[in-house]
This record gives sequence, C-alpha cells and structure tokens, in this order.
Amino acid sequence: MPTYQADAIVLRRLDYGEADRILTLLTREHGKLAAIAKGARRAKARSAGSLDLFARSRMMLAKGRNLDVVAQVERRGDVRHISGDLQRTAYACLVSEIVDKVLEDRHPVDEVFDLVVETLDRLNAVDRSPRADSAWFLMRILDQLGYLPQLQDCPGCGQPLPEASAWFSPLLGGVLCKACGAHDQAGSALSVNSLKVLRLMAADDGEMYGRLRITAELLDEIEDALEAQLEYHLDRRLKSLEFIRSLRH
Amino acid sequence: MAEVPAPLTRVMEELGRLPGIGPKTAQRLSFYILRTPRDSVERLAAALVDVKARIRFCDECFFIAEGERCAICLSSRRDRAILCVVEEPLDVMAIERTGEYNGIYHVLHGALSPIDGIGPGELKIAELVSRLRREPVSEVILACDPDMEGEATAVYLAQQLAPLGIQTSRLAHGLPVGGELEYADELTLARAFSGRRSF
Repeated sequence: MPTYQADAIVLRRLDYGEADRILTLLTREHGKLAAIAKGARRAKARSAGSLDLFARSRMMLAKGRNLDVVAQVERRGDVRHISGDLQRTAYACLVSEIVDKVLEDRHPVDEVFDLVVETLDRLNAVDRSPRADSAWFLMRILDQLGYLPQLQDCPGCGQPLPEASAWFSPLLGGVLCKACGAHDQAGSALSVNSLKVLRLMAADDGEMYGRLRITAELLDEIEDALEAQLEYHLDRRLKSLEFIRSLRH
Repeated sequence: MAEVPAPLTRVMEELGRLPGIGPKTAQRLSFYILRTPRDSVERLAAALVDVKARIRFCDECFFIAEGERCAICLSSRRDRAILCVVEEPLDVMAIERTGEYNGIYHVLHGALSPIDGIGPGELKIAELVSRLRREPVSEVILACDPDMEGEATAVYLAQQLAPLGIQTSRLAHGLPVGGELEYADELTLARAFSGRRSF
C-alpha cells in the first residue's frame, strides 16, 4: 500500500467495528480527510493517546480502498489542559465542529490549518480566556469564508456607521445604523465598546486584541453577534454552541 | 441483474442497520443464515426476541436487568457504601471480570460530547445525584473512559457531586500490564509518572 505523511489534527472520532475508530482528520498537506485507526480503542493501543480528539501529530497514512489507514503516529501538540476542563473542551469542540462543517474533503487550506493549531494551543494555555480565544477564532474563520461582518458602513443603507451603540443583523451581515436598526429584526444589541472590539478583530489586530481586558458583558455581545453570523451563513445550528450556551446559563 | 427475493432483501436490510455492519457484511451474513440449518436460525431468532422481551435497564443503576432491579442492586453481598460510575453497561462487565470491586454501579449511558450535542440532560446524571441523596454512599469512583469526552464527563460529575460532600475518586491512568515502557505513548507515560505511588 502506498503511504504518505501529514501533519494532522483529530477533529472527530467514530467507533467502528470491534476496536477500530474512524477519524476525521484536518491535515496541512491534504486538507480534511477520513482515516481508520485500527485497534485504537484497545487499552494497550500505543497510539490511543495521540488519536484523542484535538490531538496533533505527524502521521503516516497508508492509502486504502475506501478509507486511508493510520500507520504511524508521532505526537506534536499538547492538549492536556483542554482535557479535563469542560469549558475548554466545549470550545475546542466548537472549533472542530465548525472546521468539519466548512471544509471540503481533501482541499487543503493552509490558513485554516494554522488557525486551528493556533486556537487549540491558546485553548490549552491555562492563563488565557477560552471565550476570548474562541471569539477570535470565530472572526478569523468568518474572514476565511468570506463572511466577515460589515462593521464600517451600514449594510442596510450604506451610510458610514458612527461610533455608537447599534444593532447587529446576521441577515444583512453587519451592524445597522440607528434608522435601519429601528425595525424589529432578528439580531442582537451591540454596545459601542463591543463594536470597537469587533472592528479590531475584523482588522486582524491580534496583538492589540490580546492586550484587551474584555469584560464578560462585552464578550456576551461579541459572541452573540459572531455566532449568529456564522450560524446564519452555515444555515444550521451548531451542536457544540448549544452545549456551550447550556453551560453559560 | 437477477432480482433478490424480498425476504432475503429484508434480512440484508435489517442486518445492515447493526453497528459496524456494512452492505457487504450484511450480504455475507444473510447468505450464511440461508445456508444454516433451520433449528439454529430459529434459536437465534428466539434469542433475539427473548432478550428484547426480558431484558431492560435497572431502575436504580441503569445496568441491564431482568426485572425492575439488576442482580448487582439486588445482591446483599455488595458494599453499598462505594458506587462506581461508568459510561456503558459493557464497562460494568469489564470491571466485574476483574473481581476486584464489590461495590455498586451507576451507568450513565454515554459521555458528555458537545460535538454530538450530548449534554448532561441526555445522560443519567440527574438520576445519579438524586440516588446519592437517598443512599448512604461514602465514596464515588468515576470510571469514565480516559479520553477527551470521558475526562469532561468526570470533571462535570465531580462539580455536581461536590455539594453532596461525598469522597470522589477517579480511576488511575498509567501503563498497561504486560506492556513495554519504550512503546508507551508520551501522554500515558507522563500520567504514569504524575500518578506514581510509593512502595
């Protein structure tokens, strides 16, 4: 069987047969692909720890008739602080669910792979806020998909937006001016500070974003807007988001 | 192509619904059944109907039972002060095979999995908490799988059980018996080091 190597992250796992697992992998070289890890569920399986959810490794895969087979695994990333932390696990699930939904099979996108690696590394850092890091991921993945929200001009009338509290509309894909936002539209309220943070995120200013102290109230507004924008464009509810919302309440 | 008779198609379809069985395996099994003597097939069919009619989940611990309570919950020899929480009924069987544990169980029927939309409401967690309020349990052993979902479930349970003031422990992580150190993966080895114990 011909083999190939790839940097891979485990996005999903599905038990299969006696002791096997079918993995959905995000690889740098070959994009998203499914592979089977034989015997991975056995307690003595050497590779089991490296094939857990969100684990990153250098893999050797063998071409199979239907599914490629995981032949060797060498662990690279560290996710031990995500494991055992419910909130971090839930946000890592969100990242993985979104990437699984938005990527086509075997279409590598370097920027998305790097973004996922960066986000998982941040979620694994105990001194960081998983909410703020996940919000940053949402904005960046929206950018990759071409759904960056409109934050400078009102998508309703095209007028420049003043720096003031406003209304976010996922349907129109951005922040509405006072006149356009006066109608009862689906969406959420944004304070002026949330608008400023969203603009900073949209401008990809990660350094400044990292220095901000974002309050829980601001994060609520930012998350509401970005999550609504993403779910609107994906046209589906994200299961991890529903789980995260249940944790928030 | 020759048409497959309807009864055979039905068997293939039904077998194909089973976990881990694809269309090819379903075909092979169907033809095996076709070649098998009638009495042996009848035994299989009767066993399937019987298991569905007589086996249910225990009202107390949600392990498999023949009546309202399972054999473990009904036994007077079990230590009711220790309760072991597992994800699946098969985990109870695995622990029972060790012969090391004499307490009682609670089967969650799954693990928290945000990505599959499985939250606390889908598992037997509320039942566990109300059971611990009623019964004189002094220690809860969390025996969830040592993977991402299992760890998340264990942490969530520990949080839920904390107000009850019951001692809670987690199964140890470490090297498998009969394995070789050089072949252990880094994470298991690291856990084995942090969980080492004195002689």
